[in-house]
Amino acid sequence: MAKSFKEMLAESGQELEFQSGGKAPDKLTPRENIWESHPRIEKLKEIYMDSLSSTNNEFPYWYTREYFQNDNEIPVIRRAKALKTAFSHLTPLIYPGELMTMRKGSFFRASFPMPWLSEGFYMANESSFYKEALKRGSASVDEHSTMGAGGGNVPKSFGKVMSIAGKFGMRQEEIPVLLELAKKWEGKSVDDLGNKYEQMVPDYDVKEAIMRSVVCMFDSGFTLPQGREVANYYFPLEYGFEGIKKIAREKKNEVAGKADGDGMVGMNRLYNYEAVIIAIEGIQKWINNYAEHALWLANREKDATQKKEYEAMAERLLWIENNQPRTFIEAFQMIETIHLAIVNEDAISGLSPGRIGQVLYPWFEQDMAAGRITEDEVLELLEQDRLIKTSIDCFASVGVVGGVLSGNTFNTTSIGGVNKHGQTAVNALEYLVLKAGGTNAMPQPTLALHYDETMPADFLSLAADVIKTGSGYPAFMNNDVAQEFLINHYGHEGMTVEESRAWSIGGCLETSPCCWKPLHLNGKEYSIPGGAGQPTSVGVHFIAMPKVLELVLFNGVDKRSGIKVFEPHNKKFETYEELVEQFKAYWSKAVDVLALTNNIQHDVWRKINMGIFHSLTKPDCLESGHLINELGYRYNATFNVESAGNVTCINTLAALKKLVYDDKKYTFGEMVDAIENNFGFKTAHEIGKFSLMDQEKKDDATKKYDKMHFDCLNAPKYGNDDLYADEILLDWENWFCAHSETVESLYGEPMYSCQISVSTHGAMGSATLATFDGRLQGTTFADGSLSAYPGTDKNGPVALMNSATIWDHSMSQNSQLNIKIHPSAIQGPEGSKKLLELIKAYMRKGGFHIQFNVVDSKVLKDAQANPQNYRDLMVRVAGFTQYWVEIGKQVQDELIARTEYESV
Amino acid sequence: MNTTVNNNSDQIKGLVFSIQSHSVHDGPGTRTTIFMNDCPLRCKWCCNPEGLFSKQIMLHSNVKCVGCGDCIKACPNGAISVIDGSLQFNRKICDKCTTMECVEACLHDGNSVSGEYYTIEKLMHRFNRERHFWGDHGGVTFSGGEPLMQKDFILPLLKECKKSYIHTCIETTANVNSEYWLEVLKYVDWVFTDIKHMDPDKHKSMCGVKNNLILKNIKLLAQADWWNGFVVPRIPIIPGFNDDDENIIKTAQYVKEIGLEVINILPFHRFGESKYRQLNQTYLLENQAAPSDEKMTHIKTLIEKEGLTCFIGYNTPF
Repeated sequence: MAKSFKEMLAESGQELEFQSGGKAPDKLTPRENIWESHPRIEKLKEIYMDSLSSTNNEFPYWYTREYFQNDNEIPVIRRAKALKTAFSHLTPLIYPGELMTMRKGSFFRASFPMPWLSEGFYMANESSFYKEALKRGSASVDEHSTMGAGGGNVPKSFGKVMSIAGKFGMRQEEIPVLLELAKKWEGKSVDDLGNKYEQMVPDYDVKEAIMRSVVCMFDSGFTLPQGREVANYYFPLEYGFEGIKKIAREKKNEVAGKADGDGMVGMNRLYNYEAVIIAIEGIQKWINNYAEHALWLANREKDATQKKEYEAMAERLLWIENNQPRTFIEAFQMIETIHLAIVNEDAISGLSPGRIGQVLYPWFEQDMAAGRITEDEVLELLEQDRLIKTSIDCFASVGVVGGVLSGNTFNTTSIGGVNKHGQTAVNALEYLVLKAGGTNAMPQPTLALHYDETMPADFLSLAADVIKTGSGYPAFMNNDVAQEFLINHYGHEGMTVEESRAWSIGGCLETSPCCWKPLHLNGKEYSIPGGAGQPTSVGVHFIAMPKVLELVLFNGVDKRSGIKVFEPHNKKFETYEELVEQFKAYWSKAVDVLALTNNIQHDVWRKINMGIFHSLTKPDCLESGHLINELGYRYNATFNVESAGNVTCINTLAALKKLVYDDKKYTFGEMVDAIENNFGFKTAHEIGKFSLMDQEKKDDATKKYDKMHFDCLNAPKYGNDDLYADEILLDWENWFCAHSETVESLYGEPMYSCQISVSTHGAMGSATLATFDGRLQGTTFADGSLSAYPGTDKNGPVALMNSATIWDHSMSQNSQLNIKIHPSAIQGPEGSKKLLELIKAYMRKGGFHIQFNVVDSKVLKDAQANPQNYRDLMVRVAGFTQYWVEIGKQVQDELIARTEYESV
Repeated sequence: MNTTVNNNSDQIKGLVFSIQSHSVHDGPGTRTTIFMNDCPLRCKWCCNPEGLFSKQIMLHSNVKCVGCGDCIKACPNGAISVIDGSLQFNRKICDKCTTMECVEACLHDGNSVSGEYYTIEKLMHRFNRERHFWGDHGGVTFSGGEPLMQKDFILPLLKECKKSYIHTCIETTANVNSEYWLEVLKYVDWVFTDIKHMDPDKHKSMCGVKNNLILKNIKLLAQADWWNGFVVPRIPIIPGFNDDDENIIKTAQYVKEIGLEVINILPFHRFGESKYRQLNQTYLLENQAAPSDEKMTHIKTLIEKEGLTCFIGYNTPF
């Protein structure tokens, strides 16, 4: 058998040194902290662990039926009526022991298809429509994504359950219904209509080629059109649903028949307010159905305690159906309901609850003062919240769910930050939010800690203790850098210093604009933060930088598929600068054509599939009478350009500059030839392993490329505080961030750069040839945007952080740095202190984000071999935490390979 | 490759075999630790044998070596040969070699250079890049080898650190000229120093030198009226050599007598073993067992009975 790369380069890997700063102990090291949740929650969690991700046609059936009965209506009313009917018909499902209730559909882990967004995907394989969809290129990314095969996923059909998209299970008898529903939307869905019109963009064929060769991952407008934003619960919390309807009715009287100086959309306000009322009625009916069901259960319950709990639950639901909540638990139930309603209205991933420790504080403060609730009861509710959020699934294609999201839906909760007046916003409730993250460690909500220098020390040490549970959260985000970004980018839309303080993470790492709103409870006024911006991570999705560079090397042609993607440049590249110029030229071309086509997709979405319930919750739709589609939100410059494979590309450029242009050791042609031959190795797909260490040489390999491969591996690398590579990064960031601001979204606003990889580094690496940094064909890219490529950061975390902060992170919406730490490295209170010092130093140097996986690599390897023993093992992927068994193999391999720091 | 040729004579250079950033076990807070070449002792358990050399040295890794023979062809001195199917290095030649063609020739990192020359300026640059990460109490630790062996380099470097308000810590054998010892420590804030054995002859049997100078220097420092720093004597616990009650009690009594308060005991470990192989040397303590946890606790109790504070391993407040 041929020698594997691993065998060649030593087991302990000093060359690709996977343990930096010492050697890990031989035995498995457990995580330091293992906390438990309340018994009630443990019981519900058991049900969750045994539940499969399930889907049915209840919502789509009623939506479709109502929609097609109203073809005489104007779009916004038509959609509102369809939503109302669908919500009204959702079958309630309540489990014994729940304090708060309601769920997406009638399963523990429920979700449902939305064929009005994209119907082709739901058709069975034999359907010609599906094949047509495949040909359109948008499906080709599915071939490069894998879904995790364990946990609650349904990767394969079994018995009478059909697997859809490798994740969701649907009863076999419902499949014909699904196909029937899907057919109704043929040619009418956002996907189909968008595609019809995007083809009118002159360079549409370039876009097709880009998608098919996986230069870019995913369309934007019909996949997950909303999300990566912060929810705003203010209006229902302040006015109650009846109160909002009252406002809408008054507003209708004010605006009926009036343009008020706006000849384009001024008149629309009347229909919009009418739609708001219709949508709310649907939500109210949905809540009412749950209340009725709780009473029905109470009547049949023999256990006196449980009976009382059902009755109390019904009473709370009936109250919040109409009114402002009175108590903490009512307020919490209400935001759960609003949250679920929003994610049911559209295909949404990354709807973040935001800073709930501040949103819920008014009720917490008053209930605590009045002795109506104890901290322990609040903690129990916060634990249940984690279960509710983790149960939220999002129905989308395997490419989106597996390749990007790894099955996570990013309902991130933020803690910390500053209040309206600039002082630390940490309050007594936030300690409990953080603590619940440890006592009920589940993937969601992932916690984002907004770090600023005034944060109390004991809050930080609690955060360190939670990290040590191995949950991967909280991640640390730099409050000041986020505010700077927001003021820079949203200044022209009215963002002020005070308002920027309300910010929160939306999705996994997306800095999102928010605002303060005055909440009144029993005569006292509080300022609560909440989302005020459109979805982020929309627009131009994940362009693989290494892939664009590959196209430069091969004169515009994708070698793997033979597709011509860009016009040939026919250049010889006498200088390094010339090469970088061409790289930027191809990049600009890709961004341009993707922006134009995705603008059209989103424009179609806003015309026929606009958010109504979600819109009314966001400032300032209710005031202005305009929904999301008519710039009703306060902040609209939220579209972006996303990059992937940043560090892999920088390392590749560094090697090329060093070996070809500075040292002149090889010619450009020799280097390209080596790439074409994968340095004499088999491809990752041939051997089924995706980390560099596991690659194998071709059986008939000559030594032809050995020297060059060695030199490539040893060329300067990002992550070592070495200016040679870091200045290439600096040059790229300065150009990329500025360039993104020149791209215009459909809302007439400038875009910005978004630099998170989510899980795309696996799928996109899979479609990319070898690169000059020594990475081999088909293996993953470096994760995040600032994590070092595994094994290349040889000087420890300090040098890595110095490299990462060479550029100004406030030019971008985000940056991402993931570090894996061995539990022994941060043991004890001293270990926590040193971990925190490291984090603080990174923040002071201007780093935006850092997060940790506290886990022994040996545990991960064992978990890959014996998944049945690791159902509840969680790991940090890239901005979010997920159960190990629900992650695809590519990303699992990459996680094992990430450099592990033995001594922080 | 990290080879830097020491040809610029107008700048003093120091030979460093490793730098560890954000090191948490070598003094208070988090620190940057500089491991410097050369040592007056030859302790049989030494975990950094490559640091005993006063020049750059070639390391050969059997694990990485694929046996291609490229280095045999490259060596102009004929120092490498194949015996019984595996590569053999004539260390009499290799250890004196300064050109190391075998390193350049190897594509698998089988042969590498240990030791890199640094100017004071280059190290200060690194400290300044890293000082944000040290936190409130951290700084730089000089370790080795014996950092005080490179006399002309370490003194100006320590002065430079002092000027830049950098907290310095040193891990030293204390086996240096007493005059120099007292001079150089004026610029040091914290000292870790071993008392490996109280008996001079036993000390010599395992460490190559007697302990008289060491004990004298520690006392001189502990009792110097100008010294404001902190001294932590350490005992590396080597079972069968220095872990008997008598030696431990004697050590503790000595430490107390000269006016110090703390002893840090470190259990023997074999982390250095693979480095001996890379130097084609025999590791003399191959069969040496590590002390049990009970033994370590017992020693701690003995030391505490003498009225001192004792910390085991890296479980310290610093």
